[in-house]
Amino acid sequence: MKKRVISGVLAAIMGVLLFAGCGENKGDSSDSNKDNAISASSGGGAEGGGAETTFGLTPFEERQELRVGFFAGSPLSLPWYIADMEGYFEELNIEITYETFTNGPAMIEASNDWDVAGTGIGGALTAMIGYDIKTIGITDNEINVGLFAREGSAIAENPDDPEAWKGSTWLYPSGTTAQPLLAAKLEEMGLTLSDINSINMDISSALTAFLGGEGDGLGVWNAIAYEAEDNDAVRITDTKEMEIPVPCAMYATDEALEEKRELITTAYCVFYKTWELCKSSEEGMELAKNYYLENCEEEGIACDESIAERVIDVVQCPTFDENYEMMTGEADDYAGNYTKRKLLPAENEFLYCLDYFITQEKYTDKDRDKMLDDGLVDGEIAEEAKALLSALPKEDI
Amino acid sequence: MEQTKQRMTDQERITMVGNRARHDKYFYIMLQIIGVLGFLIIWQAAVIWGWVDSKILSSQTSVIQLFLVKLGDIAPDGATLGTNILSSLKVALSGFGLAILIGVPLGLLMGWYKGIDSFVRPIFEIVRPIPPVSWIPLTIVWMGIGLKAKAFIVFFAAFVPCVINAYTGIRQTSQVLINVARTCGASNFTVFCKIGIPSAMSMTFAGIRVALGNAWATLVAAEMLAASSGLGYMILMGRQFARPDIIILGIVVIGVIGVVFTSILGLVENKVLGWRKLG
Repeated sequence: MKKRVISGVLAAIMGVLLFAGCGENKGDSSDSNKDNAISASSGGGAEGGGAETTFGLTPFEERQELRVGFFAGSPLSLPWYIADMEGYFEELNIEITYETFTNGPAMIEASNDWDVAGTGIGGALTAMIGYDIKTIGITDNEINVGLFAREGSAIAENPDDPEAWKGSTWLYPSGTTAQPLLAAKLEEMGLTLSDINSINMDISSALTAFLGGEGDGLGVWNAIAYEAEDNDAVRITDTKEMEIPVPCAMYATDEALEEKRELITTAYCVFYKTWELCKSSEEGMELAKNYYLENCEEEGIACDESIAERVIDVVQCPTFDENYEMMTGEADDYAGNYTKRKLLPAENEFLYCLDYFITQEKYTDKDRDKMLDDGLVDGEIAEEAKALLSALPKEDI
Repeated sequence: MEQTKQRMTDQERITMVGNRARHDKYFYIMLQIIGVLGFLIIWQAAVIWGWVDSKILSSQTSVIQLFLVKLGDIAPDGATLGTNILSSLKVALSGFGLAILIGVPLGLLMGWYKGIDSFVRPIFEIVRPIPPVSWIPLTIVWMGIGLKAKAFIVFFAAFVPCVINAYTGIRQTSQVLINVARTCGASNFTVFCKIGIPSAMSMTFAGIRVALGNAWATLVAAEMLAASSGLGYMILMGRQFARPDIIILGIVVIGVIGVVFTSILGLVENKVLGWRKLG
């Protein structure tokens, strides 16, 4: 009898707790719905409801999935990772799904598998000209694309002596920024690419081969460039010294721009604001360095603290406003060829490399016109993101 | 009907059978032609009527046009088609030739001599399932980035079928023939040379055909290692600059050269194994 009483009391307590639990959940859910209702009415996050998120953006009512084409080991994709790890997407009810790639062409070919992605200029030109994919933002300017020679070699000793360069063998990925950089350096000495031997290799294989004694020179970037230096390769020049603009692009597929526009616009704000946040303090840069290192380790890319620090130091990801200016401002075609309309400053950045590839017959003038006529560098998302942030109360931004 | 049969002379019967054989031959040749033409028509139609985006599949006409242009033009990959073909032939044939030279004798010896089989087989079984491409990083370290390294990658793709088929072929040698030879006083080595090797040749040639296919299939991967010309390199550059016509031209040329080599191999096989027809 006593046991029955005890079990009856316990059952009653459990029942009460169960109902209380359900009631609480319901209350939470309705609160959340209330927030989401504001979010929905404000078109993805401007007024109210977002005051408690890091950038003041309003969380989405329903869970959103953004598929990001992620460039492993490259800082141009890093803000996605930082924002994700810091929970900036989670608080907006956005789930980031990564599709990781280590080269541009593969990423572009797999465009069915991502909504937004980013590569260096080689991949960006392929995306725009070959696949009509629109560039929606600038994510970096790769000033750390470098040319390296072996320590003690004639080129390292006399980097401006054309005789030292003639007949030398260079390992680098053809069709990437390393090629115009090498061509520019050769041109400075009155030489052309036909005066040297070019061997097409991906950058990590090129470094392995170079360190194994193959070739006289190496054209690489990012962590691989610093790894080369750490292994006594001598930096001859780089895109910063040669003042070659090397924009990295963020682009989105047409389907994603149509179906997930609001999500992309919100994520776009988070991307640039995250980097701004990192840049605003030493702690932020330290955080970026740690995340870069962590991501390289995850992806199996050779990196250490010192390399990560140097890579992060030279990241040129623009602030939100700098990117906005590049994607919406006006400029004349730097070469004076295109007169149908004023260009975006970002378009001019791409044209420098594109024009070089046209001289090498990799692309044609028709491709140049197509990129500009079709507006493949598109400032609309930048405009919409600006409008979204402008609608936020000042203290939230 | 029976009367008709009775009235047919032997000569008429021979003629009738010959006619049927010719008819069958033409019929199958026509089927082959229709198959190829059908494929080409579907391809062209798919591009013309927009079933497939021309950005991802070029039309035949543009590929043919490009073929003519590439005979003398180095753009956009930096080498003419002839240079690319020669460069790839060097890589593919070096690796393939080496695979035959090493793989076939090794397979025959393993199949005939138990000692060699026991010694080599465990290592071979470990090496056998390794994809040739996975050798690339070590190949760079071991052999650099020249022809030797690329031929090594192709060698691995072609080596395995050479060994396996030669091994299986010689293991299937008729025991009756071996016994007869031994009864006549032939040494083990003589039996190996005069009975084992000839009877293994059919299987060995089948292995060489597979090896040839593998060698060509690995070409692109080998030229991914490092290259400044070659059909694989041309395909990679087509990819880099989003030029499906370049990629398709590279694929078609690799395919056509593969067919030519398979035909040549067939002729060699018929010449070497002509004695089979006598049987």
